Amino acid sequence: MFPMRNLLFICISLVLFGCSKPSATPAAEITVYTHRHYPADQALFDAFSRESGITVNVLKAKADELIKRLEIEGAESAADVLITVDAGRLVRAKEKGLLQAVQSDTISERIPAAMQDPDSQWFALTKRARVLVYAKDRVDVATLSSYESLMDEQWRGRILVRSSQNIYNQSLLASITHHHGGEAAEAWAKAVVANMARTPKGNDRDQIRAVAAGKGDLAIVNTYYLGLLLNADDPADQALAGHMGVFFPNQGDRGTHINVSGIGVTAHAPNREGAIKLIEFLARKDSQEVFAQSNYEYPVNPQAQAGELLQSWGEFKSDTVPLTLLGELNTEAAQTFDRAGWR
Amino acid sequence: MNVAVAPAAGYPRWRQRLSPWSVGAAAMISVLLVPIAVVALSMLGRSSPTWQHICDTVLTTYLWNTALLVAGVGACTLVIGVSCAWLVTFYRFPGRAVLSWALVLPFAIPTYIAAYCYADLQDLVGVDMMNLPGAILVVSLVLYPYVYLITCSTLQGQSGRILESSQSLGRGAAYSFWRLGFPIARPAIVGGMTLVTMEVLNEYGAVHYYGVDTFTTGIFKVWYGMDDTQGAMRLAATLMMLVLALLLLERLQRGRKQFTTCGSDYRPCMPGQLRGSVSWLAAGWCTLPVLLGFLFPVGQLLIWLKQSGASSFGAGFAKIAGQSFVLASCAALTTVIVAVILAYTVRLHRSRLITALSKASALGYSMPGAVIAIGVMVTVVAADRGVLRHVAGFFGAKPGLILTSSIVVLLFAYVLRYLTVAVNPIEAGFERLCGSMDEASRALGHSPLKTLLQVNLPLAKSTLIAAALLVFVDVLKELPLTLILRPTNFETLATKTFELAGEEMIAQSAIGALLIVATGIVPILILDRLLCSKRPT
Amino acid sequence: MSAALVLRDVTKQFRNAEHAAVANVSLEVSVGEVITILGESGGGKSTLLRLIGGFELPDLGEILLNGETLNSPQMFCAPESRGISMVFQGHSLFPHMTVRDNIAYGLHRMKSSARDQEIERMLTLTELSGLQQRYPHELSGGQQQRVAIARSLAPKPSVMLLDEPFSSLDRTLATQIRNDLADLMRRSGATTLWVTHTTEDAMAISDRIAVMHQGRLVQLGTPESVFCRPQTRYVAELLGPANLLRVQQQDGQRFCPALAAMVETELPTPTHAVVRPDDIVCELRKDGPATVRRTAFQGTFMELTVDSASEQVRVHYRGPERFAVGDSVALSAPAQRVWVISDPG
Repeated sequence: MFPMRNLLFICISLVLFGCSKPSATPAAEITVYTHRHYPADQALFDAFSRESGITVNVLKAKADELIKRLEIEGAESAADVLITVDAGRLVRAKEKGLLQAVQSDTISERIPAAMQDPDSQWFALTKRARVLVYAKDRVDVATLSSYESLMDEQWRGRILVRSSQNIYNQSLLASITHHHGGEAAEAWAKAVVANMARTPKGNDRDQIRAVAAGKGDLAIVNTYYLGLLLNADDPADQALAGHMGVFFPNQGDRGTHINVSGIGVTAHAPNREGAIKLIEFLARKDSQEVFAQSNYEYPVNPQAQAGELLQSWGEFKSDTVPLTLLGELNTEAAQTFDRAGWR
Repeated sequence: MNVAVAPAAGYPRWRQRLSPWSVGAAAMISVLLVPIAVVALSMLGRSSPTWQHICDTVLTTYLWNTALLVAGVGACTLVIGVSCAWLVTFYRFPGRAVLSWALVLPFAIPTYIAAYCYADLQDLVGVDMMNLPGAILVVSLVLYPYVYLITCSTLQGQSGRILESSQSLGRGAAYSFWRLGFPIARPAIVGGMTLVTMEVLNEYGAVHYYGVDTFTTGIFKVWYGMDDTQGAMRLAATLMMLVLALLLLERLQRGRKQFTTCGSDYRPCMPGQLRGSVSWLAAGWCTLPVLLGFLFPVGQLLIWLKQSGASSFGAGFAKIAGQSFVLASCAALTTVIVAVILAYTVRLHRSRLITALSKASALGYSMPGAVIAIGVMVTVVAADRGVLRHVAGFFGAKPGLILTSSIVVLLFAYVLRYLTVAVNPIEAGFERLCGSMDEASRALGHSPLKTLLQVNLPLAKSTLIAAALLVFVDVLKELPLTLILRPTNFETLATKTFELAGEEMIAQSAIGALLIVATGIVPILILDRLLCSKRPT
Repeated sequence: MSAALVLRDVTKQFRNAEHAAVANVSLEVSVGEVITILGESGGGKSTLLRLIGGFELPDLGEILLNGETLNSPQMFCAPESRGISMVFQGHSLFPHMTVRDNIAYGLHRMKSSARDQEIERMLTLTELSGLQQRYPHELSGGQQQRVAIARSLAPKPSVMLLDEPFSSLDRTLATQIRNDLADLMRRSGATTLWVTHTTEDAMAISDRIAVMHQGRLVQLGTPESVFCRPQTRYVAELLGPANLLRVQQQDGQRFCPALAAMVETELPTPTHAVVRPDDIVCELRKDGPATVRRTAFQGTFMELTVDSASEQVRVHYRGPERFAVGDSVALSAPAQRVWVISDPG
């Protein structure tokens, strides 16, 4: 059969083509599985390559998919590090035995202990806060206080928030579960659902725009997306800044809920040394400022400065709940949302 | 003469059906079915608590939404696709020449991009699209070309005399179409609708963004939200059963009816001239889908592009576009070759087993890409461990996972996913050939292969090209499989676009989306060129 | 003559079909013989042809060609390796090839010079010279048919199968082409199996006729023997207008009441006498036992329907007499034109 033979030929040549790649001096390259697909990251990887001579191979997909791929590939995986956009996924990877402990004084120096896994299997790279964005003309800032206050009836039909499938919502509910217990968390979710201006839809950007359009008065959003929107190329989006206020909840008590984007060395990393070097590099002050400047994230390295826009929102106290706990409570939070009818 | 003899043992039928074709086709299908089996086998595992949780809380809503979405999109694509195919094939009206290919263009727009474009309609005219009807409209607008394209190629291949003979019996053109053209094109139309339905079933991005939760949402909720891959696979397997039932239904509706037209009077029909306001009405009706499904989203993308500039995509976009083009071409070629072998074997042997297997390959299309990706990954890694490592070990190398890190995985996954997209039109195309055409070739001493190459393929050329085009554009837009299975540092237009759009940098993603559209248009224009020679003017 | 094609107990049962499409058919076809398979549609004729051509697999039985097995429980010979040509219903010309390419299609094993020669020969034989660059859709129905025949004849098959080759042509044209074709087949000396449902065609061209009914081969013989000595009512009626008249036992002898005559037969349980309307003699007789019921002028003859011994008898009358409804008549038939069958159905 002629077509079959051709197909076979194509396959074999492709395999041979594939073979030729990994044989090139493995020590000089590392493979990154990352959920972060930002131009800033690529720029940092390039900088790392120039500095260390280590080539960075990147595979970008969702964290859950990357974790699954790591699981299936097992010991033969080419991955050296896993980067996710929330702590929960790193906890999951750790629980599945996909990560390994890393001891590096440089890392410990650059990343505070609270921003690390207690067993040093993963490290936070950046922070994002879950804040309230409100329409200045319709909401008196004095009425804002905490996530819990959103249960109040005065917000009936005024709150905008995205679907419960969003990891930052899950993470927020996990923190509430940690502080108040499961039942209280469900009650909170139910009350917020009752106060929603509409069924959750769209992304964070859409929530903010919906506030501007008058569909609701207050949106629960992520600082990272808020930064993106306000710096967008669309003049209409930039104009939103003037009408919107940013409020960091729970400053009076435990602090605003934060989530982190983090990194861990995989259990079977072929180039462990290179992987550690990369983490050290990403935790360095200048790298951290790249995250902060161009990606609107709060740096974890205390020496690094937050970006201009982020600084304009002011300093804030962040919730100190151990990040590991958020990961452990994540599944429960997702189920609580379903019971509360939070789409 | 007519002596009754006690029959000897029956013929060992399977042995007579043992040909390079049946063996080859069965082997190919079996390999392709492994990833599907991986997913299906997860049904056998223990029931997980999350599954129970899903049943208790949200499953009813998901199923209801899924049913409404499938029904809505099905009805819309049927109406748009068939009516436009009918008008363009059988009538002449202003703009017909352009519309005949322009109607395929919306197909080049990824669903989630269309969803983003339409979300902004709110700001422009105050229409809220982000709900179930909106989702139905947006999804229909980019999926109707499936129905349009397949129906068109079938109608054009149909003998015009059938319709004319009906008209000569005093029946109007519309009635003739309804009673003859439509039923004869029915297998093709149903084939197109089946594709649409399956695409809707695994659609995630757009409907989720619009706040409509479907069965697929459930799958991802269980997987991502509750970290229960097993549960997600179970849900996917359930979805598979649903699709199996659907395929069976499609099989049954065909019944015993013969849809082939045989005989000497094969002749394309001459389109009738529409006049006056009717012709403008026809032109308007056919322009509407192009306007809404293509021009509007592209216009929106251009506005965004103007705002953000092309810089956001980086300088490597030419390379990425080229890479995507080559990848999609390879995938389309491979898929069509496999589909031709399958469809031809089905025709050659009329064996139930092969037919059933070729139908089963459709399952790859019905499941969410991310779930298929797991099945593919498990399969390929096993193949890597089992076979290739031994081969490599023989040469003293320890290369890790060779297949898994190569582009072969992607090709394999694409073939698995889009095989049915190609098999459907090709089977319909072969079915349209008079059955005895290839038998005549065999009786004249030509092998099945030579018959395929000299008779079946030349005669089914337009459907082959249509099939290749469908797969090409589909692969160009494909996202979840590519994301998960691609080698490191490998980018396609779709992944690059999604990177930005997924991070809410929609304006920046416009250049990528436009490039997908532009790359997708190239083969559409080629197709039109090829079909033009056949289309009466 | 030696047997070219041998069928032994060939049986084919389709799924969900009431009876076997082909049931236990055995048949020997001699070299150069022309056999027509006659029967109404659905009788299994086409299936039998497709079995011989290799397009269907038999459930049971064997098919041999020139002593070599084509189908048996142990083996199956692919259609392309059988050396059997087939002309299909609706002819199945390749629409994307010219007349010449269609004819050349089966000549792929020939050298090109020999091939050209053969094509010329076929074009002349089928009187298609000058049309070789045409495409099938540019030809008339009769021309298309001749191309199909030429295409099948060109590779010089051991056996030629024709499946209702004229079903798409009008009657006058079909008769013309049929005669041409029959001559053509005889000249080429090809062993031919010809499926038709038109008795006229079968009688005109065959060496032998094989009558099929509900999958069974019910009678095989020369056209004359099948016509004159049918073995069942079905065959009798299929081959032409026939009266099937009751036969009774009387005084140890067989008696046909309608003809008021004794009949001769060796059958143990005869039921009917088959008498063709043309063979019945009808005479006006005042006290005649039969009455004219209907008359119809048919041009070359007068068709009479006559009530005789409570049976209706059809008579083709060619004499000078003019019968009127109600006339008393007497019917008779020459003994050698009365054929007795046993058909309880």
